Amino acid sequence: MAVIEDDLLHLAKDLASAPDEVRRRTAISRAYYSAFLRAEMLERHIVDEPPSASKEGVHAYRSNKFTQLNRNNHSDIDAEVVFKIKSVGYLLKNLKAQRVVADYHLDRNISAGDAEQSITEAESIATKLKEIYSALQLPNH
Amino acid sequence: MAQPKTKTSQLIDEINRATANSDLSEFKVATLKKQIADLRKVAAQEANVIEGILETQLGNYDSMHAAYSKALKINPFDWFTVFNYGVSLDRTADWTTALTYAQKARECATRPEDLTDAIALIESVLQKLMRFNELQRTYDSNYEYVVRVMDAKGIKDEDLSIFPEMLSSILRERRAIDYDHFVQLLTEEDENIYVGVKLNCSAQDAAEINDLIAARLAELEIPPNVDSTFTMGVLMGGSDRG
Repeated sequence: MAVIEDDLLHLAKDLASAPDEVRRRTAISRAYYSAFLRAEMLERHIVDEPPSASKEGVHAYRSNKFTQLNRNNHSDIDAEVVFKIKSVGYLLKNLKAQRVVADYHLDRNISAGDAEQSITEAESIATKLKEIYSALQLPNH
Repeated sequence: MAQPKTKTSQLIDEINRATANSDLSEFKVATLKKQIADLRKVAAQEANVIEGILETQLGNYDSMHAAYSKALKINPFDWFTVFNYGVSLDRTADWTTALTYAQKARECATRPEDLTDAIALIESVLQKLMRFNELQRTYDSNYEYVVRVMDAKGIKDEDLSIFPEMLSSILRERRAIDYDHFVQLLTEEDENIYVGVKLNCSAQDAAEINDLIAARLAELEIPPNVDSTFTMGVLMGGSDRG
């Protein structure tokens, strides 16, 4: 059965309140992926030069594409929307850093608050993307 | 200069007077030190504090630090001692520890002016810690890696000044000075270096601050090599102390 980004976010919320750390870690990871996947359509919509980083994977590619969006190359996009897209890029980077800790740094403690922060940030990204999709007249998520 | 809460001897007046009159000659200092030594026989703590005051005026910050270290052992909760111990750490460039004591001084403060002084010290130390180089050197194990990546990507120290300046300004605006410690290099994936501050704040506050950071960064034209390498943000405190 297919799922949507909101399903991941809901799962993240369920897991975040769990008493054990492994679920809180998973909550952070799911929160990030809900945001990352929600931004996929935007990435496809923006036709641009590839961002600069040399060894980047798909995650860095997406966020870098947003943060390095050049307003001069996108006169069709309103300046305010460009600004919002760049903001989403930075928020994605930040959330990704939290996800990397949750997924790879098992020696660090992850609290319920950490999971809550990631979820709040994933929600903030979702809100901004909704506004961006609406402004660009793309199908809404 | 802030005054100790304890009733101090005429020595302090004498030091202050000598300082004001630029009269801290070798002879004068020797006389004062003799008086401090005499005082130590009957009031060790006061002698330590006065020694700290004298060494501060003389600009001997290692000696100042040593004097307040002794004082702190005797009275670890006295605002004046804690505050000046923090100042001595600041002067000797141990900013991470200075911040701890500046925050302790804030907790010890009972008078508004002491609180103001403690907050000023916190902010001053914070500014220094925010300097990227110092921040990186705090984490020696990561420093070489960071330098290697910066060299490979042609990033200079000054290219990074925007991050601490901006973060510092946001934290000041939010009065979010109660931070725990820096978190650095959370991820080496894609040669992306995350530099963050762990704040003693709620998850909601941390998320709001990150929102502000993202908005400020979005207003800038950050060179692509810097933009794709460094990420800065805050994490709520309380989860990781390592």
